[in-house]
This record gives sequence, structure tokens and C-alpha cells, in this order.
Amino acid sequence: MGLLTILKRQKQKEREVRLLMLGLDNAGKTTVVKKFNGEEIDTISPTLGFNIKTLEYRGFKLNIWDIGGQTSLRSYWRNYFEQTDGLIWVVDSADRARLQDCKAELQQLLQQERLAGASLLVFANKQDIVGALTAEQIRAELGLDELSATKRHWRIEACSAFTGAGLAAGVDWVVQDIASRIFMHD
Amino acid sequence: MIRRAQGQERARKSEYAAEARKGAFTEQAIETGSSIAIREFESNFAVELRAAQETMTQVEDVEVADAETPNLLDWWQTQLKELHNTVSGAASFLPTATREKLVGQIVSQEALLREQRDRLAPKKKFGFKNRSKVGTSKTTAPADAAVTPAAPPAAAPLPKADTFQAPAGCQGFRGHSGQTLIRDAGEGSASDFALEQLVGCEVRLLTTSTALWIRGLKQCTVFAVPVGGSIYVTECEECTLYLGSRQLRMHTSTKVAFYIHTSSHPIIEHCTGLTFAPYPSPLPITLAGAFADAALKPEQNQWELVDDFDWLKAAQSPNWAVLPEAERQPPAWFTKEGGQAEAAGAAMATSTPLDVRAC
Repeated sequence: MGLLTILKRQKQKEREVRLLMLGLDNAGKTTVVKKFNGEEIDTISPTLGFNIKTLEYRGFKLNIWDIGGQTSLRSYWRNYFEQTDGLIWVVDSADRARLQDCKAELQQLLQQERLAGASLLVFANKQDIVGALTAEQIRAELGLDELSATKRHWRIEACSAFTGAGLAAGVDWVVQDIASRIFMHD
Repeated sequence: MIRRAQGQERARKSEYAAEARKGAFTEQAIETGSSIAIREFESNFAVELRAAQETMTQVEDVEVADAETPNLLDWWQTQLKELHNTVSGAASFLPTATREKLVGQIVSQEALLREQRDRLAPKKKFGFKNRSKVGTSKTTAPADAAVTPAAPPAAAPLPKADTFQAPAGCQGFRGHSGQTLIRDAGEGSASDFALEQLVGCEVRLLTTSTALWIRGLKQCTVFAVPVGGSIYVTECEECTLYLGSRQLRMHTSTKVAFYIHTSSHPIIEHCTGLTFAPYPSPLPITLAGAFADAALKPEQNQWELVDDFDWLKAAQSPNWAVLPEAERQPPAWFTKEGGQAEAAGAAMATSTPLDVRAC
């Protein structure tokens, strides 16, 4: 029995899921995590390194890795790819100026071998802002439909980390999708 | 005898390595924090380390290098390298202290290996060609680069998003100089608006919009009623901008005085000489509904919580400062008698037929 087998069994027992939150700066990654966890979101400042949040959700233990999204930090994202079960890509739907940047970064991530098996949840965040693009528009802008030709499990969910709308629906999907892949022998 | 032992161990190792390689693709499920997994890992590590130490003992027993010695040294090297790989593979769930301890053990072994290599290496003039080749190609590049998550590879550079480009077909004022440009209240507010390449202009945007794109302004004064979405300011110089929005981003600008209202932190990148002050309050009576139109609350203003992405230290960024209260001034036309009436008058006076849609 190899080490990885042991680890996998252990993980199955604890029903633990590792989620990696990425996205451009100011997309609202930290706010999404905090709001989802029921914390205050008034005093969030740009994430310069990363935050790890472990929370219990519907019988699963979620390890959420929230990594800073500034241009200067993006080259470090790769250090967090290992063992990722689900990738949550957060988009600032009101930031139309940087959608191309956002698309390019996401495409680069999806080519990563170490993220090959990860489920992808795209949060079209900041739906509460006037002029925000809808989830459908983001889906088209980011070219997400091209993913359907691959083996990737993906979904886009409109949300507002400010009001909390849509967060649970998105996380529900990603957790269920991962669970059906990893823990199906339970 | 050594050869046989090595052969057995090699077989075991390659089996392990194959399993690990397979695991990289099929087994997503590595424990990320359990102490049981860590203990398991540590005992595994200890076994491998002991194997390396046995090789070390054999090397130490060698008094004079013979034909077998280079192989033995290389084998030791391989063992250490695999230890490195094992640790780096587990880096995601090992506590930092444990990881450092384990890496420390490997590093000290590597130091011993180098010592032994030096001791057993034949003097240069007697050096065999293949010996020196073995020595250089295998001793360099230890795997610690994989352990310290420091140097990211030169990923393909992404296009810089420094210059914000308004979407095609966006209404706006473009390419004017020395004029007063007014977008009066009541014009279509459910779309974006752009200000581009203006020099020495005074701009008043009295209708809200979904987003505001400001690019390439020089020596301009802009007053805009709050907008509901985002404002992008890029490549502006020596301007005074009165802006309000949900979120604000400024790139590549110098010497700009911002009077802003924003319900999130303003973000600046590649900017110098910026000053910040709160959005003028109260607004002239004619603009009383401006905040409500943009669904903003006047009391929620974070104008002074500027985030400079070029300045990660806790100390104040040298790229921006709070404008001292004594130096703050509302737009000149606010204070003049009649306020809005004067604005309307100015629109008449310039009488430049600035059909917004035509720009």
C-alpha cells in the first residue's frame, strides 16, 4: 500500500475537500469566503499572500485556499495547485475593462496539468452593482462553452458576495460534483 | 554485494516512483492536514532516510576510491534526490516546521555527500573523463528548488491591462481641447460614458451612467455625478477629478487630485503624485438626487482607504497622499451664485454643438 493510497483513504474518511479560490485582484475572493462563512465583510483589504479557511458544510470539511490576485502575485498561484479538488474562479462582473485579462488568466490555469481533474466553478460576482454583466454574458466573454468539449466539470453561478446571493448554490454544486467523483464508494 | 542490495532497493524505489507518478493523475485525494497522514509520511521518510544513511556508511568505509565508488556516490545522490521529491510532493499538507526539519536532514546529508565526494575524488591530473562528467552532471541541481516555493517560472506574459479601453460604441467626449463640455441632467443614464484625449477642458457630467471610462486627460477638471458601477481612470496628468462610484481604479496617472466617493477601496497602480479628498458635500440642490440615482449612500465613503498595488508595505505609499483640508475646493461653478443656473448658462455660452451621440 503506497503512501498516496493511505492518504486517500484517510481523506475519504474525513470527507475533506480542497477548494482553491483564484481570480483577478478586486474580484471579491476574500469577500466570497467571508460572507459564505458568515463573517463581517466591512473591513477586507487586498490579500497579499493567502488565507486558508476550514469550515464544515453539509457534512464535508472544506479547506478553502483564498489566494491574492494582484498581477505581482499571480506567478505564485502555481504553488497552490497541488491536490486541488475544486477551482473557484471569481469574476468581478462589473469590471468590464479587464475581462480579457480575466479570460487569459483562466485559460492559462485550465491548461495546468495539476488542475486537470479539478471541478471548475465560476462565480460571476458583484451582481448587485449597476451595469454588472450577467452570468450569461460572462460565460460568453470567457468562452466557457468551449470547456464542454473537454472532460472538465464546470458551472457558472451569478452571485453577490456583498448580499450573499448565489454563494450557497455555487458551493453546493462544486461540493456535490467533487463528492460524486471522489467519495462515490462511500 | 553492494550491487545486489542496490538492485533490490532500486526496484523498490522505482515501484514507489511509478505509483507516485500514477497518483499525480488519478489520486486527487491527498490529505491536507491530518496528523495521522503526517505521522505516516514521517515514518516513510525516516525509512528512506535510513536507506540513504546506510549508503553513507558504505561510502565512509571506502578508503581509496575504486571502480565501484562513483556508482556508490551516485546512488547516494539519487536517494537524496528522491527524499527531496518526497518532501516537495507532500509540501502541501506538511506543517512548515516539519517540512523544514526534514529538508534540514536532507541538506545535512548532502553536505556529507559533498565532503565524501571531495575526499574520494581523484586528484585532477589523474581524473578520468567519465568521472568528472559524473561529478558535474549529477552533483548539481539538487531538488531544493522544488521545496522552496520561491521562484516561479517565466510564465508566458499576459497582455498588460494598464490601458482601459472603453467598449466600442460607447458615448463620450473625445479629442477636445480648451472647452467646457457638459452632459446635462436627464440624458440617457443606462449606458457607459467615456472621456478620452481631452486637454485643458472643463467637464461636467450631470447624468449618471453605468460606468465611466476616463483616459488620456491633461490639465482637465472633471465633475461627474456618482455612477452606479465602476470608474476607470488611466493615463491622466495634472487633472482634478470629482468622481463617485461603487468601485474606482486608476492606472498610469500622475499629479491628479481626486475628490471621490466610493463604497469600496480605490485601487491605484503605476501612479505617482496623486492626492485624495472626499467628494464635495453637500452637492448643489439641483443634484440632490444624484446619490440615490446611482444607488449609493453618501455616508459610506472609503475615499481615504486607497490601495496602491505597487506599494505592499504597511507604511504610507509615496505615490499618493491625503489632500490637506485647507487645500480642498469644490468645483468652481458650485460656489458661484446660482450654482446649477450658472452651469446651464455655461452650456449656453460655449454653444458648441456637442451632440454626445455624435462623438
